[in-house]
Amino acid sequence: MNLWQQWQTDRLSHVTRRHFLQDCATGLGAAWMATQGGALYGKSGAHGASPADVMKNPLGVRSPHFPAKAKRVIYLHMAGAPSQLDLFDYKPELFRLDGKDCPSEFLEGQTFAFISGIPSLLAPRHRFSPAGAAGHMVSEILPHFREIIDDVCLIKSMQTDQFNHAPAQLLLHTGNAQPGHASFGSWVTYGLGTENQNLPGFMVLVSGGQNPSAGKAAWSGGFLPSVYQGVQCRSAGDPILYLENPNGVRRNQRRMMVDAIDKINRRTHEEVGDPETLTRVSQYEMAYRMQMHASEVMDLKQEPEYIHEMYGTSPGEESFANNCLLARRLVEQGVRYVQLYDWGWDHHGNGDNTIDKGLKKKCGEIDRPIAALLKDLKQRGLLDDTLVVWGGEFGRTPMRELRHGIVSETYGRDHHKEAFTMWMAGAGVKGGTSIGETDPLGFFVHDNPVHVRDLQATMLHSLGFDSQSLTYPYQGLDQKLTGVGDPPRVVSEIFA
Amino acid sequence: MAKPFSNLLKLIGVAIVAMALLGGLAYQLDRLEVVSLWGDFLGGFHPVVLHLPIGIVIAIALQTVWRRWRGTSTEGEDRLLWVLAAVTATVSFGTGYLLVMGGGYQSEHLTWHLWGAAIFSSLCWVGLAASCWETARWARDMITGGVIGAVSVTGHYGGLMVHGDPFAGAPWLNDPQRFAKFGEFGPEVRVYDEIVVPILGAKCVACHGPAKQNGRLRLDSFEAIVAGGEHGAVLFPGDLERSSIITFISLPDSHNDHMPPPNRPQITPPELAGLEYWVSSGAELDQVVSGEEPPAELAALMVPIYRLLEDPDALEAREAQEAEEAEQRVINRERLAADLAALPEHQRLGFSFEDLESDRLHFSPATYRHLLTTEDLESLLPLLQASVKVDVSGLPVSESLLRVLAESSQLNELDLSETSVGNEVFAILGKTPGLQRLNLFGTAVDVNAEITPGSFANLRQLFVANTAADVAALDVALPHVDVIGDLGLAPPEAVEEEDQSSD
Amino acid sequence: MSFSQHRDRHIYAALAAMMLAGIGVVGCSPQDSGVEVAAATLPEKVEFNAHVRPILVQNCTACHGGVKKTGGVSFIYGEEVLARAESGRIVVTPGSPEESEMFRRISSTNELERMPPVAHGDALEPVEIAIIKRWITEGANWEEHWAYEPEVLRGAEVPAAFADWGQNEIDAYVLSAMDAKGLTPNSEEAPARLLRRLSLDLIGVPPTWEDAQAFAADSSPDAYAKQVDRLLSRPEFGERWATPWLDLARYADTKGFERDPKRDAWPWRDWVIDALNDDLPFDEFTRLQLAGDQRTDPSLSDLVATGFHRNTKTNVEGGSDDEEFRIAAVVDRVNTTWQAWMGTTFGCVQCHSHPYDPIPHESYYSFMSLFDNDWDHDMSNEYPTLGYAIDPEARDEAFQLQGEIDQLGRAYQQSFRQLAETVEWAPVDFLAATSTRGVTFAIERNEAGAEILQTGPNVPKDVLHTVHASIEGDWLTALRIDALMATNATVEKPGAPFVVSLIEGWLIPPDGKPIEISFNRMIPDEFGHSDWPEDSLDPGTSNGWSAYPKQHYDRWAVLVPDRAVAIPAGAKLELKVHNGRGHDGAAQPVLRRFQVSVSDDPRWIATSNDMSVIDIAARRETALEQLSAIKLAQQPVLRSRNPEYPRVTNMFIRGDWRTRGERVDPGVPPILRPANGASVDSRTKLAEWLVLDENPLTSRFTVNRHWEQLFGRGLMETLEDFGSASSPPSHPALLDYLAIQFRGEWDWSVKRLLREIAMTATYRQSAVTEVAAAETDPRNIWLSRGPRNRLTAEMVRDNALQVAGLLSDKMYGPPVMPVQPEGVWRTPYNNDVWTTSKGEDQYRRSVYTFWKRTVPYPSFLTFDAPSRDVCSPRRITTNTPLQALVMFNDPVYWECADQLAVNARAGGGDTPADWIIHGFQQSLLREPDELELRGLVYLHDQLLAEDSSAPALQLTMNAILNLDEFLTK
Repeated sequence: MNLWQQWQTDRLSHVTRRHFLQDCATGLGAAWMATQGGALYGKSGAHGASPADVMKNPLGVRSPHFPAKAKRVIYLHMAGAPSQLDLFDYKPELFRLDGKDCPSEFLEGQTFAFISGIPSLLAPRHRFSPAGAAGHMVSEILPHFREIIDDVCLIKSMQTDQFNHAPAQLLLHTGNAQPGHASFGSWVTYGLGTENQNLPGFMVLVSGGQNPSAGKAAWSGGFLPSVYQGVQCRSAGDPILYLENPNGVRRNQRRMMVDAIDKINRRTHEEVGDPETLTRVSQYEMAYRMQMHASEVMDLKQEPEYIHEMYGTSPGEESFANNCLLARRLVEQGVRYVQLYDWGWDHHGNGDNTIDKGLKKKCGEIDRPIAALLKDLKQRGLLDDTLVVWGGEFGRTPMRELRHGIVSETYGRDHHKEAFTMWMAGAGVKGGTSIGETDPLGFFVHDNPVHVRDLQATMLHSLGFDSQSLTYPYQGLDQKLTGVGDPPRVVSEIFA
Repeated sequence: MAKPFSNLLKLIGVAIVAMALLGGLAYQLDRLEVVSLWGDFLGGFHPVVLHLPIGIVIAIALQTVWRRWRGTSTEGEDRLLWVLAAVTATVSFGTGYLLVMGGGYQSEHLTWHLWGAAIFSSLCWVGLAASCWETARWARDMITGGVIGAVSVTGHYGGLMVHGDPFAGAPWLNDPQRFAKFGEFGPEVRVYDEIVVPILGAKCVACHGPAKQNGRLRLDSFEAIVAGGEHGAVLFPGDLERSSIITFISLPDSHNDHMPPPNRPQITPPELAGLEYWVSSGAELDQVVSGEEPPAELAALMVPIYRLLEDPDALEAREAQEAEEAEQRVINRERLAADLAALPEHQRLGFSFEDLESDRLHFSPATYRHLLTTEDLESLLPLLQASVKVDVSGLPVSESLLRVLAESSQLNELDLSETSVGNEVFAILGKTPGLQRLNLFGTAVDVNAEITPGSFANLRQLFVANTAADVAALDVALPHVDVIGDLGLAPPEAVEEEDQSSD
Repeated sequence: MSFSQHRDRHIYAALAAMMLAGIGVVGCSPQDSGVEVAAATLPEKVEFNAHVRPILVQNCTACHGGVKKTGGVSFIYGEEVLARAESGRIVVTPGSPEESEMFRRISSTNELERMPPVAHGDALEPVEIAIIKRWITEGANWEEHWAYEPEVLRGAEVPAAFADWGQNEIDAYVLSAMDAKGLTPNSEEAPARLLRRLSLDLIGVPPTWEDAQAFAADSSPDAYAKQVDRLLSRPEFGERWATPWLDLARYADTKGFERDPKRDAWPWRDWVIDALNDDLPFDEFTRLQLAGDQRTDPSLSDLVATGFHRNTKTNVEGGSDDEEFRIAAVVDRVNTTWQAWMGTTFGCVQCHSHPYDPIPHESYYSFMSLFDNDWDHDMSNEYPTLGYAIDPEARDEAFQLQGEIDQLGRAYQQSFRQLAETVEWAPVDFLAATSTRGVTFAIERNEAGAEILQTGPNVPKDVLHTVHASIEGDWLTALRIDALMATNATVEKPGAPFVVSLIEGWLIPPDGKPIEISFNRMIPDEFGHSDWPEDSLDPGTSNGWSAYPKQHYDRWAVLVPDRAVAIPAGAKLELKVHNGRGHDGAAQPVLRRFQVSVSDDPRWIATSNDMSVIDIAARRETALEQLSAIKLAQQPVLRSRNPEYPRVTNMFIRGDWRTRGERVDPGVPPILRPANGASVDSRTKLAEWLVLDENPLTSRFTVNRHWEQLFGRGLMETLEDFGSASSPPSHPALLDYLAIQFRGEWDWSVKRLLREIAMTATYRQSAVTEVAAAETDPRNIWLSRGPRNRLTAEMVRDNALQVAGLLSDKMYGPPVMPVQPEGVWRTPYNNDVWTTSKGEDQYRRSVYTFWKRTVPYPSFLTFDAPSRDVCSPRRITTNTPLQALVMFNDPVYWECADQLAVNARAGGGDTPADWIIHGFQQSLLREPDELELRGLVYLHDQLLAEDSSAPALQLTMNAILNLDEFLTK
């Protein structure tokens, strides 16, 4: 029978099976249907751990809402915003129009941090060449990146709302441009807890000589209980604040003290019956264990020589390479979310912050460690459930920067929120691909725009959460990472 | 003779009065409808009541024929039937009118149906009157004939509106030989009726039809499609980009405006191609294509076995099976959770479920990994056998434990990195059915490892970095497996790049 | 037609009847069979707020509320619930559920029309449907949310068994609520522990061992009352109770954002400490902080008080738009006012009507306009600020000098302004206009005269304009410049700024030898800007007459030469205007569009040489010098702009400041408008409105947060949200009683409120949790036992320093920097360094610790202190291993342990046991019992046995500081 007849018979049989008498609201069988109807759908609604029982064991392991590809995240944030036009978003048109005035239709209605008037276009100062199986054009100042491009998915159509560093970093990492909201790492440890109770669940490693512009607010717990805030590791002195005992105090002495304290606290609990007392007993046990485990995992000297040579580390100092190796060691031990910030990518053209020498120097610091990190994760079988994300807080303009209205001799670009490039790898991400395109000058996103909120929803999806169902009740609202408003889009094309 | 003649006049008078009464009834129902909910409620009775007068009128006709044939014609015998016919006809007219008031039935069939019903009802009253007053037989027969005619017209159009055209598949309209060959499509295929209507009917009309008009849009008739919804027109003949009837159904699934909504049966690529073909070629009502060589876009639809909606029986079976699986999952989960609760903390902390409802267990100890002994692992064996992912890296894994694990039907991923296992692991795990991923990073496997052919049938990844294993040999032995050995980086100086910085 | 046959008739009738009956039975089968619920489970009297509103908020307002009014249905405003929805049907018809579309939808079993819709979850429970049905049948009476209704004095009857247990009315309320739950109160806490709790709660530091002993021994009936009064009168009271208010005020010693540079906000912090110690009534405390500057002849403390709302963040990051972050600061002030005084989440209303409370979208912007007209504009120097002398003695003198400078400056300008507005100006006609750095000009002529307009795309910084103009008349006695707004700028979208660093004029006669016009006076159109216009005449500074950081309206200034200048025949006028200032923003501060006109009226010179004017100018100079001799902290304060040049406030479409809706007038949301209809159109009136007797929120919120400080949990648990989405208060009657008394009989006195609470038997109960109580009331909601909560971050440090005898009692002054690990304190572009304070300052109370927003003091952060980026009403306490590490290894606590050991040895006794007892007494204010002593002595001996050089006593003392009892109160 043809489609129409098939549909007729299907429709009727569907109807008889479930909805037949519904069409004629008072048909002879309606009454019977009403009683049989009942709840066709099981008890649905967002079922997850309620905030109350989360607080009993705040960092205990919890399952995601649906099967997840990623169990942990390593986020590599290049603070200052690397120039996507000089690294990944290859624009032949820009080479052709180098030095020409920027077409006015790009400038209407646009506001910039520093540029005013009519700036001129600026071509990349380094050559591009095809890389990987698909031959994506990548700048030659990232020589080692070519070796891992087949594990990476480039997102060339990123967009954000803010063009100042601090608000843009806050929007990207906490979902809101003003400080006071929970950061991504806090949400993930609130949602999933952490596997290794001897270590913090959310750790932050900083390099490049400075904290990022947003400061601690970028890894704060915001309205979430403070147990979920990021713990900043430091390359000099205690890796975690107050981890090491004061000089002269040895580990076994601490053991005796902890035993003595526990004994008295247990007595207090028997007397007064406050459950918090017992919790404090277990926290002191964990603090004792953390002193050993944390210092062990932070001790890079335990790695064999070939690993140090592969990453290009320099133990004892603060370096991006050290932080990459540290990131691998932390996720290997079960830390849930490792956030790296590398300062120094704000290439406006002032001082040595230029897109020719300055950018090349910064690429030199990160290219080898990132390639080593991905390869090391892959060879240990960790890459398949570790999501690695790389990027800045916004992009840089195709035009040359005009600080104070004066053409600077050095090469620099201004902040640009309309289009920039990030990449993701691991945890089911389709390697060797690129999604989204910008217009010939790289000014606007031309196809498949990905707002930072969409990126957040996509990362949450890979961790087994729908961006609308991971919530925390505060100020009468079920707060979400991606904030209120229409639910953002999961960019499913990224995953295999 | 005068009496029957004057009765005729009276009959015509009755007909006119009846028609007027019906008009009044319709006006009354109009007003009633707006005021309260009764209109909707009563309108629903129409399908029940309308079939009664049809039966009764047929009974009258048969009785008349029977009497004519037996020659016994007595007055008033069929009066009871006429009463019933008149009453039920009027009631069904009333309920029918209310149903129309409820809206959702605009089509040209409706007007035929309404007028037919009005005539039929009044003729029933006339018939009743005729059987009470003594009228000429030919007049009564004529009335009966008229009633039969009116009911068949009304019934036909009524059926058309609700059930569609029964004659479409009538043999005399379709050459049987042609059907068999082309999957029951005739030489000319009316694209709108035979392609577009079924697709929209199966996938859209549930929320854009008589029952519901989301976005004030109806897709169950050509006029409704052209009329569009609350945001204006949805169809721009020949222009795919502007016709939201096409753009909304070609959005990526994760997009908020993607139609049909996620929990409804989705539109398949061949169906989308068919609709796009119709819109881009002008979206005419009567567009016809050849059945023999259908255009490429429609070819996929015009095969005998193409299913619009999932076969109801298959759907039923699938849902039942899913429900049964879900129940089983809950039982497994509770059993496993109970077993886990019984464990001491340093063993329990390594286990977690894949998600909130799943019974698929993962084992990857972290907090107390340094405390787990062989005895611990031995005692955990039953649970480890129930796990899909087992990470015993860096733990004292005995060969006996490995052999028991190898029998597990659940095991998909096994991480033995940095344990003391050697080449024997290939023999032991070769037959594990579900094994997809095996991590032997930093173990004692080496060049003399042999792989028995045909083993590791489902394995997809094998990690042997930081070992003495011969990666190339393993690659050859396991063609279908991605063998990952040591991954170094090109030495730093290898890549020099002449600087093209500021000229 | 004859129905003669009787029998037939019967058959027909029976047949018809049977048919109709069949349809009838089938048709109206009990569709709502599920709804018949045993009446017993229904409350006897269905109250809207208690029973119906929670159902609506939980299931309906998400789609039928302020954010979305799907189908035109909203359950927020009473009148809308009784109105007709888009479908034309009435949502709720009082008295008849059948006629109510809402009831039909929630009780329908047809999935396609059932509410809540299938996609959103399950149907309502039968009992909920029954409640709604009952509510509608009983007339659907609508009540506003309890928090918006005035307080009600309900009284509480006390169960006979405990008639004499209570100390005051509060205990009666607590007792009746406790009794309803079948709980009985605890006995009183042991004296030493009770005094420790009271002392920590009231002044943030524990009593000394001697005080505790004395109190334990004092058997007089008012022993406890005496302690309460003693503590309330201590200066430490203000230092302890300032902290919660500093959290609400988002106080910090830095400006926030990227560079997060220093800010002198400590004078305001000291004002709060004084206000609390002087028990300044809370209504006056409110009026001064919101509108102290609008008082007639405000005092120094009146002005410093307005520092409250200058705690908002200032973004000095290069390239940040000052208008955007001025607006962000104003939005923060609006949200904080509602949060800190009324516990209402007003922030939601910025983008749409409140999701579940009756606050419409427009009322956000009418409230915002109350804060939209102040001088501060996100400038790096945070103008306007008040010079607050660091040396207390010089404070009044500095204040008096600044008042004088202000008043003299105003008088000085006033003496010319009247002339400027009346004298007749002759516009000059421009001949040529050029500038440096590629800036080009066009000369436009219109009816108002000739105008110079900058053309071309690019305006760099530091440019020098040179203008030539023809000039008539014989004498030149004054020259006026009109700086006009950019053509496309409006009040909502202000134009680019300008700063005239230097302006000079010449007359060039035909024979070419220019005659310099030496201007010595410069009078602007408006006093109060951050600049002193006459700096434009001083080549030594790049400051001068300006419209910065944005230009909102046309400006003018008049230049007066030191004497009348004769204009040679045919001479031309030459003006040089140097725009010397540059900044990181996109639009550089350069004059872009201006007109010039001259006057020959002799009165200019006469006024300029008038002795009184010269005297005013001279006195101003001397006052400036005297002031510059005093070391000042620049405390940012509120100051309203001149009323004749107001900013206009518009709605932001969907909350985005770049897209403006229509204009709004100042005012408060309808539901809370004063009964007498008085308008609220200034900050003074706003403060008045906040503390009106009829405002149902201020008093309730304030008493609730003070209760939370003492009991660890508010009577209304969610302090930050009194809206209808939060669970109702546990003791509504008690909350209302406290609110009425606080505003009424106790006359807004915070000390009286705290005294009343501290005196209650409820507060004095022992914290021991009976097994029965643990089951029924694990979180002690019904107060059947005393409060037991971990110390706040500040108390943990102050407590340790106090017991070790290290705590300094020095008060007030700039923030101090106790010990902090290296390398923690670093922010981009900011080379401030954490230099540990010397001497006594290292051991000051924690309220004086330097508070940097982007890097708070590490140990405070670990003990749940907020970063104070936003108003933080509540600190949620946690219990983490990092806290243990702080107490073990933070140098501050290690030093306390060391000092405790030293004191113990010095305190007499020569055996370890004696020392340990001494240390224990100092820390926990009680004797250690046998088990505790044995445990600690064993630890001490074990440490020594294992290593004779080990600092055993210090470690043991460190152990005592880590006991659970030490960290809780």
